[in-house]
Amino acid sequence: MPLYYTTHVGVTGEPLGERDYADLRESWQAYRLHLPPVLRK
Amino acid sequence: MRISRTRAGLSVVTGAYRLFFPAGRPFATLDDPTGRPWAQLALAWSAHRLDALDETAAMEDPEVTEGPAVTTIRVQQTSSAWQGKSLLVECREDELSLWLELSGEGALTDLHLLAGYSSADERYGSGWFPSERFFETLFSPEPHGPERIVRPAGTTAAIDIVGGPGPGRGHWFFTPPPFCFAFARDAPPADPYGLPSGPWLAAGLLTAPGEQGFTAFAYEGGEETFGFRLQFEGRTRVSGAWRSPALVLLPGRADPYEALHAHRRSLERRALVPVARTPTDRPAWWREPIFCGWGAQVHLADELGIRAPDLCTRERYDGFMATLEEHGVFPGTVVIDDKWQASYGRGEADRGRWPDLRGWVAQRHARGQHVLLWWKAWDPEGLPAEWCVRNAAGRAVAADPTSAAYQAHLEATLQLMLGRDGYDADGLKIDFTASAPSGPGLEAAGREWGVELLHALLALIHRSSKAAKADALIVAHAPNPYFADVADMMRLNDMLRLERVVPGTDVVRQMSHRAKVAAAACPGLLIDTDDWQVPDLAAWREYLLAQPLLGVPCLSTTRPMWA
Repeated sequence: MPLYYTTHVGVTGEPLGERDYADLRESWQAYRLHLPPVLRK
Repeated sequence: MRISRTRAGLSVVTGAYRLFFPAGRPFATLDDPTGRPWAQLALAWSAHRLDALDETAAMEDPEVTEGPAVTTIRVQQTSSAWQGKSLLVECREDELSLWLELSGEGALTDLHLLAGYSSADERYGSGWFPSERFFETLFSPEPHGPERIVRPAGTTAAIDIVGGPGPGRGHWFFTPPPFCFAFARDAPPADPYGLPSGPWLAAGLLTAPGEQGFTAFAYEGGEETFGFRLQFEGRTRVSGAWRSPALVLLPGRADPYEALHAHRRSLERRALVPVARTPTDRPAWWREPIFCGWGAQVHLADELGIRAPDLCTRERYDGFMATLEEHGVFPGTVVIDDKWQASYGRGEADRGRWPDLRGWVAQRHARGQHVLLWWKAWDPEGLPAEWCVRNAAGRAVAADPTSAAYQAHLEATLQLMLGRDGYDADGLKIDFTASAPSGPGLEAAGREWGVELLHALLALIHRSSKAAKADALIVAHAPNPYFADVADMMRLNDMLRLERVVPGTDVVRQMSHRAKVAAAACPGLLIDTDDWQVPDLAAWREYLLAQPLLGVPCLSTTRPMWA
């Protein structure tokens, strides 16, 4: 079994993309405004 | 509640259960109101001393004291280890609780509940007498990672305050969770995050503040059998009369989370824990999304082939924050993780890594952000051995919160970390509470041990932090009702044990389960959803959407600018 210390995200080490940062921004914005979670487009 | 006594035995019938003591038998039967059995409960328990194992040698008929809402049953016993011994059963409409009353002298090692050595009845022979179960599923609120929510009732489980690296110790996530198991009659489903249908029987501890000197509350299942055990490790001294922690049985619960709520209410009703309430004066910034630098440190460490704590530097954190800002991501709270300090036991910044921690915190404040400092509980690094719990070789095992010198040191340290004249940080992310000292050969300055020692440490940290800064945010991973007033927020903690990753872990369901446990135990506290570490990007995306439903969102990874 390989060691699972490699990460951008998760044990697979997949890098975050622009879409992920966008989702992160929207999710946090909705949270701050007490809105329902943002659904993926 | 109806009490009746016939030649066949003593019967207690309520709207929630039927309890029957067959005449002359060393057990009682517990059924639901329709007569469907839950268990046959062993009445001979064992409270072992360091110098003598406890066996029940004789047992009297139950004596009943009836009251308007509470009926108490006493079963007087003769013990091989104690001058006096009785089992008490307190019956209420919706619950029953059981405990031992002992008299004598001795240091307790293990208290077995609903099981023990007995030679009290010649028809039943002698030896170990467990209880018998008519349930197949066990629910434990103590997470493993990745966990099954339920498991077969023929196994064992422990709710405890210890864990860490090493074989069989990967259960540090909640230390401690609520001291309450739950059981269902049907077998566990194949779905690791599924639950069998109810009703459920909860079995939890009722313990007075100051009396929780144990390190573990264990469920010990066997083939058709069960019992419980409290590990006192020889550190609870009985001198004269002593009343054990009570085991409360709550039948007829809808699901295990409702069982945990019922257990907490039972504790609150007896004023054994702080009454759950949502503070009205909670600072708004406590709810801000969190960025914790640990994920990025680990990612870089792997790339560079060095230790992650060595990457806790101002330069790196400037990079992390710049990366987030570049992508328009603005956390309201930033956690500086392992290891910003020169030594774990002291709160002085490593000047090589953080040449101006106060200045960095001020920069974050100027941007409207708050800063939490990661704190490694118990670690004795940098502390004089005499401030610590020590082993027989004289080695410092853990910081000792009952040491007056350590107490003074920690108060001063937190003043430095959080005070306006110090680094002026805004709170703590407490980690490693599972490194609580445990074992029969350790020595501490005070009498507190086990759960009480951990509570003393967190109470000291919480109190001293508030003294240093009134709105300091204290984040811990001890979602237990007894700990509700020594933390402001509870972490859901690591999703996975890195050395034992199981592909396909459904982190959303797993962390939702943990959030339900934390909310049941401490409904007035905030929840830090944590983010470390997800199996893959798809799971991260799913958890990103789920986090706001569970608590305060947290991000523990970032792509460094230079990656």
